[in-house]
Amino acid sequence: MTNAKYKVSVDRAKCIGAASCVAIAAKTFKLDAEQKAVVITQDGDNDDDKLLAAQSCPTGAIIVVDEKGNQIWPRK
Amino acid sequence: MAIQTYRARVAEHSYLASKYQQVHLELTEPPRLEFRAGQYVMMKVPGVTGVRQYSITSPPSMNHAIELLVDVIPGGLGSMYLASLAPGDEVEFMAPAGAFTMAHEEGGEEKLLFVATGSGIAPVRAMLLDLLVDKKDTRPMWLHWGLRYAEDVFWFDEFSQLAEEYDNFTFDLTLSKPPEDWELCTGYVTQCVLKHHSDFSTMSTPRKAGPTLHASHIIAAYLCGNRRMIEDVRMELTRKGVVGTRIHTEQFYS
Repeated sequence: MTNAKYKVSVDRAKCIGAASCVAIAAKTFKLDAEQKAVVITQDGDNDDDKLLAAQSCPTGAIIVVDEKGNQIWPRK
Repeated sequence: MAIQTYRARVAEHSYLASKYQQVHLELTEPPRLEFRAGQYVMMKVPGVTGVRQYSITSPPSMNHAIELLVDVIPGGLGSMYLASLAPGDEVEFMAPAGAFTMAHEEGGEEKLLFVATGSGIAPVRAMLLDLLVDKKDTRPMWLHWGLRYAEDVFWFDEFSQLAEEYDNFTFDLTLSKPPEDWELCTGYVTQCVLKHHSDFSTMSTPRKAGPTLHASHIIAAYLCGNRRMIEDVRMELTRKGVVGTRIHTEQFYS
């Protein structure tokens, strides 16, 4: 358990299966049978890695919110 | 292969064609990168939040260096950064990443169809060099590559030479806006694929006479490039009975 505060989600419509999120935060993301990223658990990687994974997504498909529900990434 | 951060130094920067450039990076720390053909690096671009992905276009056998293909036309911060690099410049990236790699041999992929558009050729080049040159893979392979204008053409001699040297490899280049004297395929690359492989049930080994085979269940496709091509080719292959798990794709997003 990492006590991570950030929560991530994947906008499936935007995901193109580049898998950079899987490379950076392999305990948080994986590709499903349709080669779309899905969240495995919110507690697998630390917040820095989860945020970097989101920032690495070429389509901005990963959304990061903090413990108060504020969207951290993509920036609004 | 766990992902980690690498430092490298620009050894060479080549101008290939109208909008395409190639950057050769010699690894410095650590000095070796183990990766699978088709994977990419995540480049740290100064002043940019996050990273930018670039497919490694050199084969894994060149593990002391990597080559990247740059398409400068999108004008993105990442491509402009790579285009600005000069010999001696240092870069930093994370690698290896990506799932667009060759399936394991026991997967039953006996005939390989590679389709690329534009800079989507980058990971495909790594795959073909790895398969043909390094692993001496003898499975029949076809490469169909779509570009727009004649002035966009690069690596033509290299792929033509591979086709001459390796009897199991066939190369077809398609231009969607060809000059009048263009003698090769024209139109979108999907049309070229359909023209050359109209019926997979009678697909035979390239340039060899022999029995025709029911190929739809043993053919595998590796598609890299724009979304339209990937969707169109996937649809056609599926209609012709190619198994979905044997259609591998990498969409380039700009």
